[in-house]
Amino acid sequence: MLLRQLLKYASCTLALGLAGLAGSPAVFAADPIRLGTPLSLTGTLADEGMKEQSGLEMCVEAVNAKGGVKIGNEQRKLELIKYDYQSETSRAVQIVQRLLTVDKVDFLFAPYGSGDTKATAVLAERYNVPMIATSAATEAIYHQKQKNLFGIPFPNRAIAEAEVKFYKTNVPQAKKIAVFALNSLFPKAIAAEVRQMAASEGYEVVYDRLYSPGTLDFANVLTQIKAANPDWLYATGYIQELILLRRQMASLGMNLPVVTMTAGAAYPDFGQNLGPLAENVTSNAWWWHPSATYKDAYIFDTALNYVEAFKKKYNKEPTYLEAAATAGCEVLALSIEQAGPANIDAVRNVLASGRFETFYGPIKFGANGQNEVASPLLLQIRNGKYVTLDPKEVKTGDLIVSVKAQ
Amino acid sequence: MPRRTTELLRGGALIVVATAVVLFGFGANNYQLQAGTTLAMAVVLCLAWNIVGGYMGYPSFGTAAFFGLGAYAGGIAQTYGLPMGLAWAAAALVGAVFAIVLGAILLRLRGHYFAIGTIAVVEVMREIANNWDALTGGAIGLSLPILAGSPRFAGIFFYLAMWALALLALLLTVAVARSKFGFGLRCIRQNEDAASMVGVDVFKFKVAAFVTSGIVIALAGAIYASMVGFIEPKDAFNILLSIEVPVMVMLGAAGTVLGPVIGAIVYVVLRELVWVNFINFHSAILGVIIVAVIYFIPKGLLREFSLTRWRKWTAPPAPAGQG
Amino acid sequence: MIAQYVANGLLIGSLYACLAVGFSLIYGVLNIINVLHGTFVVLGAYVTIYCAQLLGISPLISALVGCAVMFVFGYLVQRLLINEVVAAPVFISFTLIFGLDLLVNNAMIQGFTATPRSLLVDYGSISLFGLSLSVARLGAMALALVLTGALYWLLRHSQMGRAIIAVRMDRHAAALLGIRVPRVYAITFGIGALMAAAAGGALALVYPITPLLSGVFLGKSFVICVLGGLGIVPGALVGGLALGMLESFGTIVFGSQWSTTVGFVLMLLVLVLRPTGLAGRKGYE
Repeated sequence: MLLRQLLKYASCTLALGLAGLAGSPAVFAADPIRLGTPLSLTGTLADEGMKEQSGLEMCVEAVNAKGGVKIGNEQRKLELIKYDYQSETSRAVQIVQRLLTVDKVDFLFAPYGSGDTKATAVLAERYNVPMIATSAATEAIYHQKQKNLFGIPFPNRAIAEAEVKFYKTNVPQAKKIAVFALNSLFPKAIAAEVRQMAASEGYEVVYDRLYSPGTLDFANVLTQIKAANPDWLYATGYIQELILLRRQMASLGMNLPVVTMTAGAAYPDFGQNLGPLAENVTSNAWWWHPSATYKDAYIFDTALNYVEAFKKKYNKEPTYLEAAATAGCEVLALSIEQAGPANIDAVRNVLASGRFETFYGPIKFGANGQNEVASPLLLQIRNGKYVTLDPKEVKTGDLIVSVKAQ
Repeated sequence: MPRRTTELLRGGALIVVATAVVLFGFGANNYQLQAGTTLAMAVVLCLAWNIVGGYMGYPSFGTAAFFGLGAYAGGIAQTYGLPMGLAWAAAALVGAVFAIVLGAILLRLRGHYFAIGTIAVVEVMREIANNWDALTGGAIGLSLPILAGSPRFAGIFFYLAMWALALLALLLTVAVARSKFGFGLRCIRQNEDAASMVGVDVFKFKVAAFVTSGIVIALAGAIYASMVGFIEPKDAFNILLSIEVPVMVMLGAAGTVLGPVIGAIVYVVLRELVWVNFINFHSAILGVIIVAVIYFIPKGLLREFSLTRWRKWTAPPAPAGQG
Repeated sequence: MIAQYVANGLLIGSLYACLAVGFSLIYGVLNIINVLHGTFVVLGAYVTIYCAQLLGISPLISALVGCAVMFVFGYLVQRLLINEVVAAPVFISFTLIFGLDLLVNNAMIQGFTATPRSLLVDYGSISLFGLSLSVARLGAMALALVLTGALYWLLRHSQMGRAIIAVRMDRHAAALLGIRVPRVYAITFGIGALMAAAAGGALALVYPITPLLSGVFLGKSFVICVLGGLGIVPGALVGGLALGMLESFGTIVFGSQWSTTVGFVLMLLVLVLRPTGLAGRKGYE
C-alpha cells in the first residue's frame, strides 16, 4: 500500500527520466552541416527507404571526399542524422520533430513518398527549415504555398503528357486504353492524369479501376480487361503487384500492343523477377536514367560515372530513387556553397531561384517548390536492359509494339 | 493504515503527480512535449483497454478500430467546420454508437473467436477508410485544419489535453474498479455463466464496458488527429497499436488500476530507448522484450513486485512439524 | 466468361487452401493462433528460391528442402519457446508468438532485404475448353489436395496422428496414457511449419517474395480458416476455395479494390453467425 505511493512517485520520476533521455543526446551543431534524415528502413516501405539511404550516402561521401562544402574560406563536411520511422507516418512526424528540436539539424530531407512528405512538410514550414523531398511527385502536396519544401521530382502531369503524346504519335493505330491503378497517393494520381490526358487526346477509355495494396490475384480483373480488348494497358503500382500483374497477363494468354507500367517497372528488380516476360514492357524511367547524357560539374561528372561508382559501393544498379536522393543532397550542397557564409535564409533563396545542372538532369524549383524542369524519360525493357525511347536528345532505340504472353 | 488516511494520501499523491506533469509541460521543449503526449496517449489507451481486457477478461484487439474511428470522426467533423472541442465530442459520440452496435454483434463470442473478430473489425474499418474516398479522402488521407498559434503553443495544448484525458481515464478506472459494475466485470471474467446465474446482467455489463472503453479510445484518436494534422487509413487503423496496448497492460498488470499506467510508462520509455539506439534492429528487440515480459513477468510488474510477495519471500521458514 | 471467372476463383482458391492448411492444423491441435505462420511461409519460399537459384536444384526438390528446414525450425521453436504457454489464455500465446514474429521478420528484412525475389521458372498455362489455366496454379490445386489428404491420413491412420488427436481431446488423459505431450505438440507445430513451407514453395512459383508478404499471408490464413472452420481437416480446403470464389466475384461486382474487404466482412459474418465455419464442427474428430 505504501508501495503504491512509492510507485506513483516512481512513475513520475520515470516520466521525467524519459524527458531526460530525450534531452540528453542533443548535440549542438558544431563543424559538420547536419542533415536531418528520416528513413523508412523497416515496414512496408523498407525497400524504398534503403534506396533513399544509399542515394544520400553516395552524395555525402562524394562531397566529403572533396573536403566538404566550401563556405567562404572554410570547408564543412556533411553529416546525415538518420532515424528509422518504420514506414509509419506518425513516427515520421515524431522524428522530424525530434530532428528539429533535439538534434537541431540545419536542413531536412523528406521521408519517402508523397503522403509522408505532406505530413512532415507542415513541421518544416513551422520551424522554417528547408526540406528537400526526393521522392514526392504529386502536385497536390506542393499546392500548399510553402516556402521550405523543395521537390526534386517534377509533376506527374509532365510524365502523363509526354507518354500520351509519344504513344499517340508512334502507335497511331491504338485507339483504346485500359487504366488500372493502385489505390495509393502517387499511383492513383498519375493514373488519373494519364486517363484524363488520353481521353482528351481521343482515346477510348475501356477500363478504369483501382486495386488495394496486398491484392494477391488479378485474374478476374485481367479477364475483364482482355474482354474489353484495349490497345494500350496503363497499370500503376509498386513493384510487387506489377510483377504479379504481368505474370497473370501471360498465364491468361494476353497479347497487347503496348503495356506501360508505372512505377515499379523502372527498377531493374522488375526485369530480374520476370525474366523474358518483361520484354517490351514500357515504363517511364520516371525522371532519370543512366543512359541519359547530362553533365555534372560538381560530383560524378556524368550519369554513367554515377552508376559505376554506385555499383562499386553497393554491388547493384541504382534506380531513379537513389539518383534523386543523391541529386537532392547535391542541390542542397550546391546551394550552401553558393549562399556563402552559412545563413539559412540565403540558402533558401539560392534553392528557390537557382538552376542546378546535375548528373540527374537540370533542376530548377518553381514557385510552388516543385522542380519545374521536366525531363521525363520513356523506356522500354529489351533483353533485360532499358532502352530510352524519348526524348529524342537521349534516345537509344525505337519502340517495339507488342507485348506477348510467352 | 485506516482507510480514510490511505484515501487522502492517494488523492494527495495524485495531485502532486498531476502538478508535476503540468509543470513539466510548461518547462519542456517541443520534442519532450511530443514524447510526453505520446506517453499520455499510451496511458489513455491502456486504461481504456484494461476495462474490457483486464477487468472483464475479453481479449480485445479492437483498440485500433476505435482509435481510427475517433480520429476520422473528429477529423471529418473538423473539415466540415466544426470547432475542435465539438469535433472531439462528436468523435466520442460516434465511438459510443459504434461500441453499442459492435458490442451487440461481437460480444456473443468468447476467447479466440472474440479476439479474431476484433482483428477482423480493424481490417474492415481500414479498408473502408481506404476506399470510401468521398468521406475519408481514401488512401490519400485527410488533412485537418491546423491549430492557430506557435508550435510551442500547439505542443503544450495537446500535451495538456491528452493528459487531461489520461486523468479522466484514471478516475473512470477507479470508479469502475470500486463499483458494483467493476465487481460484475470481474465476475464475468472469472466465470461468465456462473455470473449470469447469480444475477449479473451479463450482456448489459459487457456492452457497457465496451462502450466506456470505446468512448475513451475514440477521444484519444480524435485528439491525436487534431494534433498531427494529417491522418491516413494505414496509420489510423494500425493493427500494431491493437497489439502493443494489451502488451503494455500485461506488462504493468491487467485488471488493476495502476497496472496499465506503469506498463505504458515502462514500455514507452523502453521503446524510445531501443528505437533511438538500434536503428536496424529495433523491432526485433521489441519482439525480444515482448517475449521476455511474457516469460518473466506474466502477471505484470505490479503483481510480481508487490509488497505482499516481498513479505512472502523474506518471511522466515515455517517451523518444523507443521507440514 | 463466367466459366473463366469460376476457374480463376478456384485456382486462387487452391493457392489459398495450401496457404492455410498449416495454420489450421496448429490451431486445431494446439489451440493457439500461430502468428508466425505467414513468416514460416515466406521463409519456406526463400529457402526454395535460394536452393533453386544458388544451388541450381529443381524447384520441387528445393521446396522439399524448405519443408525439412521449416519442420526442424518449427519443432525447435515450439519445444523451446511456445511450449510454456500452450495452455495459457489466447491472449498470452498470441502476444508471445507475435513477439517472436517481430524478431524473425526483422531478421529476414536485414538478411534478405525487402527487394522482391522470384523463381524464374515459368510453367506457362494450358488452354482447356477455351479457358486459360495457369499450370503453376493447377499444381497448387494438386498440392492442396495432397496436403489435405496427407493430413487426413496422418491423423487417422498413423500412430503419431492418433497421439495428436488424443492430446487434442484431453491433454491430461493422454499424458496419463504415456503419450509424451510436449513432444506431440512440438511435432505438430513442426508439421504445421512444414506445410507452411510447402505452401511457400508453391507460392514462390507465383509471387515475387518479400518479407513483407508474411503479414498478408497471415491475414489471408485467418480469414480462410474462419470461413472454412477452425480445426477440422478439410477446413482450410473449403475455406480457401470459398474465399477464392468470394474474392473473385467480389472483384466483378464491387471492383477490385473491395475484394479484400469482402473477405474480411464475410469472415466477421461467419464468426458471428456460424463460428464453426462453413464446414462444420470444431475439433479434430
